Amino acid sequence: MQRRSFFQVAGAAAATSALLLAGCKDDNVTPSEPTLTLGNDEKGVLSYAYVLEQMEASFYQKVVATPPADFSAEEKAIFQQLYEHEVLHREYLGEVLTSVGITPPTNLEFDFSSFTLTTRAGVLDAAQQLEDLGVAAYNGAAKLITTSLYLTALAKISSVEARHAALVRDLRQPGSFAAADVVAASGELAGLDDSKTPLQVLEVVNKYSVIKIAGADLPKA
Amino acid sequence: MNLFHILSELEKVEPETMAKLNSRRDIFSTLASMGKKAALAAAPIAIGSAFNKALAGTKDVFDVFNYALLLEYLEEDFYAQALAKAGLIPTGAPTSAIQLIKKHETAHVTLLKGALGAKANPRPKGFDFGPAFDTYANFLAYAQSLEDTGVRAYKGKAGEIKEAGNPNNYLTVALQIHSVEARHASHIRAMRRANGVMQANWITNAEANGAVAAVYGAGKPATTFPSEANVMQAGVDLTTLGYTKEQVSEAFDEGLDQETVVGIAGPFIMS
Repeated sequence: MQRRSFFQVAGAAAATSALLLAGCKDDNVTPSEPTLTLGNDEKGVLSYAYVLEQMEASFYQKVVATPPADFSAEEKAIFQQLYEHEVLHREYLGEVLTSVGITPPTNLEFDFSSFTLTTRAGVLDAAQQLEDLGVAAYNGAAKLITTSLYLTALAKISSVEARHAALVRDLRQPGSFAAADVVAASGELAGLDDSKTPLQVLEVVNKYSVIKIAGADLPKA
Repeated sequence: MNLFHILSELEKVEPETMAKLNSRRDIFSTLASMGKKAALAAAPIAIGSAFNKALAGTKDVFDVFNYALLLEYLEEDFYAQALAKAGLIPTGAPTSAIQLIKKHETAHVTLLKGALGAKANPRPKGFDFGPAFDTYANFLAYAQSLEDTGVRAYKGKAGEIKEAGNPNNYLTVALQIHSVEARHASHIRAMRRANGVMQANWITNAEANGAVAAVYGAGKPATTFPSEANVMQAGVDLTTLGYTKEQVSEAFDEGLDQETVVGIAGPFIMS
């Protein structure tokens, strides 16, 4: 086996179950409810995390279904795995939400037509934006969680998102895994990754979300 | 502290990983040079005062930050020693990447010392990484071990900082370091892949692939800090959703407790 084929082999074994889950994707968009309002406690923050993961899963599902023509076989395999991870994160957060008495939202739908998903460069650019956003979102959301168990639950995901972000960045621009646009190179924040409040993040999410995600009620501190 | 146990762990390679490998010669040469770790066992490794301080307890957030500071001192020194050894790291992209990572570790030391002020523990007298700088392959294996440990260590402390009342927004800062360590780990894993080690940027099962096996194992208690092979999340076995244990384990990183982390890092610290 050649070194380059590592992801391809690992990805091939994965394909069947991923398709299975893709088939379970809930696409019930209810026109009469164009807004998802996130709650004012940590359950709202967990719902916010669910939205982020569903957004990422939707994005990768689209790329995996119709990869850009200039994607290499290895890149296709990598994106297949990224897709699987995001679906698992979403399913997991769905279980967490259910356990705290919240029904995971079923009316989420995303439109990524503002990205150029027909080229490798366009897909990598989009993936980098979404992965870096995810990392910053989890860093900013952690302090809004009051129960340690759920805090750990989010941190188990956030470092995997950072691993994704670093890989996608390196695919796009080798060596940019922790470049100065995401990890401050100087000043008081030197060495720290980005952190964004839910409202900052949702401003971006709402560019892609078909229904409005309202986060004004989310805890602020 | 069971140094011999750790050293024997260093030698382990998961059998299922070996089955995946084709470039066995690379792996075996890596392992052969890692065998020099046994030399570590012969050397009297004194466990420094910093180690004892780090284990002394975590009553408040300052103790947690001093524990983090010790790990950052260690990482910073590890990369400084590696960069100082001529010819160890190939010039070009690999050296640039390690210089950037070293710069981040230095920034973390500065930041944590600043946050701790007068409560900051001093830098240990020195660090002895044994055979880590004998070969590029050894260096990368150790680097991966340290970065993946860093990710698990910060994650393992998130709840404690929260419960301490998150003074000065320290939880956010800790997590902002946590994700940087994960970016480093991801890149180092790719550097190892480019050097012949068949692995992803994320952790499959608890496979160490020639890095320190204890880094991927269970902590204490294992119910709170399961190994990286864990598939039970939020009380649900996620493999029941139709995914393999490999896929589930890769999608989630696990935290690690302080005692286990210090057990991994301690042997490198000189008093």
